[in-house]
Amino acid sequence: MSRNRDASSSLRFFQFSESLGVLTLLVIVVVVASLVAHGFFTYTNITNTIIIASITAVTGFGMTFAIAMGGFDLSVGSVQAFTAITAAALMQVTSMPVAIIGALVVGIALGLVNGVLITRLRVPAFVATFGMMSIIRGAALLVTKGQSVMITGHKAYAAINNGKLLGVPVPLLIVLVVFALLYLLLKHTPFGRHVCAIGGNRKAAIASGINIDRTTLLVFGLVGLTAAISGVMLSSQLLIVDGTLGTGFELQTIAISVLGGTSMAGGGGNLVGTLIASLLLATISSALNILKVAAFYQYLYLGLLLVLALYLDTLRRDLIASSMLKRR
Amino acid sequence: MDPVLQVVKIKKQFAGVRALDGVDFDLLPGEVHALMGENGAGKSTLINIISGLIRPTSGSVFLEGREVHFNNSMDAKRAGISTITQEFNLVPQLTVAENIFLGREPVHAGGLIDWKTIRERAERTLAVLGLDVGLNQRVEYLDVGDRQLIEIAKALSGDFRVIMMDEPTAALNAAEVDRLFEIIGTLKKQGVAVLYVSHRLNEVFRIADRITVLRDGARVATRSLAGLHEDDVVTMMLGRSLARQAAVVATTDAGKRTALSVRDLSVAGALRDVSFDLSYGEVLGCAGLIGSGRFELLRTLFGLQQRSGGDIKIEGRPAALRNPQEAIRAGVAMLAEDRKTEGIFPDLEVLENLMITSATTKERKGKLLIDTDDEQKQYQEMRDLLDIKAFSPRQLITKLSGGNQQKVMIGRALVSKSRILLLNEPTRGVDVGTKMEIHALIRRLVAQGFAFLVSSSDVPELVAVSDRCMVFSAGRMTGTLAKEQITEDTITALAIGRGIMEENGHEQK
Repeated sequence: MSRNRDASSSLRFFQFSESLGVLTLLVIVVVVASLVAHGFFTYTNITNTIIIASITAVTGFGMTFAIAMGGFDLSVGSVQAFTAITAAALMQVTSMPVAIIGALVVGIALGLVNGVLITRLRVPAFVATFGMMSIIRGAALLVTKGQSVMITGHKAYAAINNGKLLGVPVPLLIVLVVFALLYLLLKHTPFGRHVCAIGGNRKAAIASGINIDRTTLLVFGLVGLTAAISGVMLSSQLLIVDGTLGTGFELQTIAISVLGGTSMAGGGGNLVGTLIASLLLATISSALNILKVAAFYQYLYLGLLLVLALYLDTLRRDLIASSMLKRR
Repeated sequence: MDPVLQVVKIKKQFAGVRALDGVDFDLLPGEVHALMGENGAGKSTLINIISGLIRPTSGSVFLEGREVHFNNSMDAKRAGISTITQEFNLVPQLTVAENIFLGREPVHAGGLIDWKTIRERAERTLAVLGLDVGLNQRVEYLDVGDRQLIEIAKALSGDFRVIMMDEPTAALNAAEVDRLFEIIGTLKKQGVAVLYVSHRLNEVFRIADRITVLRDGARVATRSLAGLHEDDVVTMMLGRSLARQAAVVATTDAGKRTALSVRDLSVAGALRDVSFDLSYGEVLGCAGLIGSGRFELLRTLFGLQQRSGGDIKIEGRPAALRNPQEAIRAGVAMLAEDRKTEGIFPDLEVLENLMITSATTKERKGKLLIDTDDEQKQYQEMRDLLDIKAFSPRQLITKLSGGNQQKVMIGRALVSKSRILLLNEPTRGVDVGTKMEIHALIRRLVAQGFAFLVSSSDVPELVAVSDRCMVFSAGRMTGTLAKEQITEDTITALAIGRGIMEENGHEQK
């Protein structure tokens, strides 16, 4: 009995950490960064950190859906680059709204291609998106002939990621709007429930009459869309784009989803956690930047964080499993 | 002759349920010993204990006079006990030879696999079995019969003193069965003891020397088959003093409309030419042993499996039933056989588990957001109707007891607004009280005009709830019993393939 209580109390700790653990971590990192990195806790730097976090967060939301369904999308970095280029290229020939919509449509289309590969050709999500990651990257480099594309003559475009509305950075507003919509989609529509159901028990989902193929297709279309939004945001931030943008973006977005408490095993998604984890990641890189730590270290700590998050996830599931056994 | 294997006063308890209650059993060298009993009599538990898969609660196992304690199946194998199970333990991606020696590969001094020995020994074993497959063929390309023979080859390739066979002929054709029996004959001559589990009386009478019958976890008798008649065995299996459960409520005869009409339905490898009608306000039972085809029948009617022939009409209209969505739209819902693997969503809440199917029904179409108030209302209705004991609809489903999880699963079928309900093992893994509740619920819903197809391996359950009962054996319907004919004896007799209908002169269409 007492052992049972032990297991459930550590379970409770994990349930707590699922939603608040990453927030606690964020607070600690912010405090430490403010103390050791001079110039971190300034208005400009905090704003910049939020802008950086926003770009990752938007695609992280999409990734959270894919992971909740029991899959993931490795092609988001390539899609981000390709849609950033699409927006830049369209901007040279047409108006800004058309260019943005064009980029978003391309993102959805690329995501749907992933979905078709998975549902029609029955290629595992890992392989399909891995292949697409390379294909889209190649296409991005080919259409730009390896050159950079400048975005000029559209002053308003820069405002997407650098502007402010009522004193609030526009990217933060974009993130909050996307978050609100996707939260509603995940928690309050049959679609969102089906996504979690498929990730939690695929067989039961089939037996419940859920259309697995359609849900899968839509989820990957959604991931493509969020990657495209990030692509537009990034191009607005940089105003000069090329085919190498967004490398390693898939790792970052998967990392913030898992750090935020979304289990790689599928079955549920934690969008709040994803949002907080995106801030955590941006804060760490901002602090290390100020401390003049070489950017290459980013790969190191990102990998470490991902492994740590996955380890905690496994630990949590083992605990749940063992407490279930004890209940019997 | 001293027994090679002796089991003394074995007891096994699973979560309060007594699976074996002090069973004694012995196996002589060079004999074929049949083990019979209905589903749930304790045969599998006994085999699993002897083969080291599970440990007994009390009692002992002696091998050649010495007490043994197996911690796993490897221990039992090393001691000379081999088991051929119904479920294949083959790795499809590996070759025939690799599978035969999986886990006990002969190695050279340097630790490398001794392929020469493997090939030679595997070839010899396959020759004995008369199995015409290449040693380097991957198992995934073989059909079920060949796979079963590979399983047998695994058991023969080692030096075993006891070989246990659990329904080895389920997947074999007549010629392959003959071949297997020849092999069993050879094994006998070599002094190997064979424990043979089967539901097929004719097979048992063909090859067994002695028979042990289990019922409700206890040994009824161990007898020599010489001088024994098939009817004696059936009597031993059934017993006579069987209590009936759950009072049967009379069905309202409210102008019965045909809900489901099935003609000449066939499912490749599982079911042949099955025809029946199911009316609203009726519970039609489906009885049959494992492999009888009743499981596939329900899956086919729910679109989870495709038929190879025949017609299905729902309310007079032909139904394609290509997938569960079509079935639900046509008004058919199914309770999955295995709650854990095909039923519950462990990460979702009770409410979400209950309402998951509702989104795919007609009424939901066109609405974007989930109507939380409506869901709460439906949850409360179901909670009251089914008496679901949950602290909150927001609780994770896995926190509920098995019986309450099962009620949620039944509720899921009900909220889908389906009027035709296919129930697979509706009370498996639930306690007796909940079982009674579920039976009463079925009768109540039938009185309201629902149509039920109840498939169960629990024969008393079918007796308690069915208005009519179909019985299947080896993929064919062997009879349909009218209400007054449904007893455990008639069901079991039909299920093991012994026709009683002709004798009674009550043959149904």
